[in-house]
Amino acid sequence: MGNIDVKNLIVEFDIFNADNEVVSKKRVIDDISFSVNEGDFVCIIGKNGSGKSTLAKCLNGLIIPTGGDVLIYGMNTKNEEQLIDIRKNIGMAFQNPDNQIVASIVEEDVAFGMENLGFSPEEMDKRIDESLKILGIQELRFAQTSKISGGQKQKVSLAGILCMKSKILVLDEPTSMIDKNGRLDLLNKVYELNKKEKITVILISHYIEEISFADRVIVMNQGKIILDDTPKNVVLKDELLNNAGIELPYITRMAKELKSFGKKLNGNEFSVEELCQFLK
Amino acid sequence: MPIFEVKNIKYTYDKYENSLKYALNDISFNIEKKDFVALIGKSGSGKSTLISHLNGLYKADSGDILYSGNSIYSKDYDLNSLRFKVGIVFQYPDYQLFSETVIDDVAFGAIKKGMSKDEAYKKSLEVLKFLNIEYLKDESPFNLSGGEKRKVAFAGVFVMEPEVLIFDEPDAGLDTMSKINFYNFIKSLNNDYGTTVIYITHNLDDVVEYANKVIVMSDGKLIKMGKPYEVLSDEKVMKEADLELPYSISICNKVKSMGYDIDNTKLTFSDLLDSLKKL
Repeated sequence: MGNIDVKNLIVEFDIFNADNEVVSKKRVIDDISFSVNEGDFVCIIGKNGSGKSTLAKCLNGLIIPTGGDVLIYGMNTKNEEQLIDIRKNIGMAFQNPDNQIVASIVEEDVAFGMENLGFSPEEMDKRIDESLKILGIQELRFAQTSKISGGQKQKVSLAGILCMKSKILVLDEPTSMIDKNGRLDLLNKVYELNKKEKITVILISHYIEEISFADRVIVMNQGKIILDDTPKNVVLKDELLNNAGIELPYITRMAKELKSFGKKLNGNEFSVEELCQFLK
Repeated sequence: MPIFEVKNIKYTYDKYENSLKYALNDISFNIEKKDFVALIGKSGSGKSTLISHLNGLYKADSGDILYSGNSIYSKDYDLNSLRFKVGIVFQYPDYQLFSETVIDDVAFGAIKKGMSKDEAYKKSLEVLKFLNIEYLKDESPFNLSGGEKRKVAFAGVFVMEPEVLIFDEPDAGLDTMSKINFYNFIKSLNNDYGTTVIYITHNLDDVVEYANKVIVMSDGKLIKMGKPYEVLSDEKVMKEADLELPYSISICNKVKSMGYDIDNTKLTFSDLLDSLKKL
């Protein structure tokens, strides 16, 4: 049994008309199964509407499956009594940080989850300090949440999640508002947490560059899993990715073009260093 | 005459406090009609604050902004009409969607601009078709995915046919194919209709492909404005702005460090590919 077991998951949404009657159903997740083991770093990619965010919400029971099961450490998200335990094990960061910032001062916001679980003030203080430091935003501790930028808000909401010390982190495009430097910085921090603390990471992204951080990549299209492999193998499947509306990373694209021109490259390079090997 | 003349504007969020940290600190620049301007800088450098000034949503504490030669701060200036000419698509589409159906939402601005209801709905449908999201017309905007919401929010601004289109990180939340379609679409508006485009982005490799000018912000100040290659290859500026170099520049730098010569003014993907093929 894995850390996360998804078995034949199906999710359908009701489509309402203006009179609030259900007129049809839309299948967003179409019979997918996979397991994630403790300490894995999995990146889920797919185009808009492919079902990525819905899948994320299934993992902590925000959405209950229409069919199939989601098990977290063996606990079924359909089991309402276990939802609190499930959510203690899974920390979620969403796309739009405004949806999860609740307090007016950064440190209060970061402490919100801990307060609800009855942590001592000393412990809260320590963890706030740690998590702000990890993300490099100590100076924002007493700032007003209404006066910080989108990218800063994203870090603040993530700090609140780090404080909870969940065993699993689910990040739904956590970097969409951050500049490239900040993005790499944040992902490096997450990568460190994954390697040092063995925290399982599920990173949902459509910055395909970010797959190089993962051990494993799951590619979704129209509610189905179409690829589940290592980053290096995934980028070799041009055609499948193209059909799924996913463009290769910049460097990989360049490497492929140069390879087909006859330069000595594999066509799955991710870094500038790897790419420039052909000059040697 | 420039379409925008921004003159020494200052703005602070802490007006009633003594700290006076300026979100915009003495910013001046001109934008010509038909420019395609990328606004870059770290999170918190003042980019979003700056664009909110361009259609008068925020009023500068001091300085002036001229649109087509007229100060938007003069007493008799019609700010309402400015907002139909300068359309902003914000970072979070949720803030600009509110109607029961997508088509209602898109038509809203057009009706406010003075179109008849029939005309507005006809136009809105055309825009949805144009953006390949006609199939969403009767859905509730709140049932859509993040990327779809963005497209709808854009449609609602686009339907008003603004002279200037401003985007706050238009590609955040869009997958690559939607992103490429989006930029190609905007680029064609820019080429064919002369629509002026100003956009905030973090993706510096795309800047090279689309923009003709780049503005770099750091800590509330404008630290450089110029052609993409001039700005992006200026190590001092990039360092001061604390921005990661685009891949194109990193590749050029690496190639040079290996003892080869490469033209670092040609930075689009296809130009760089050609240069690399010759090595």
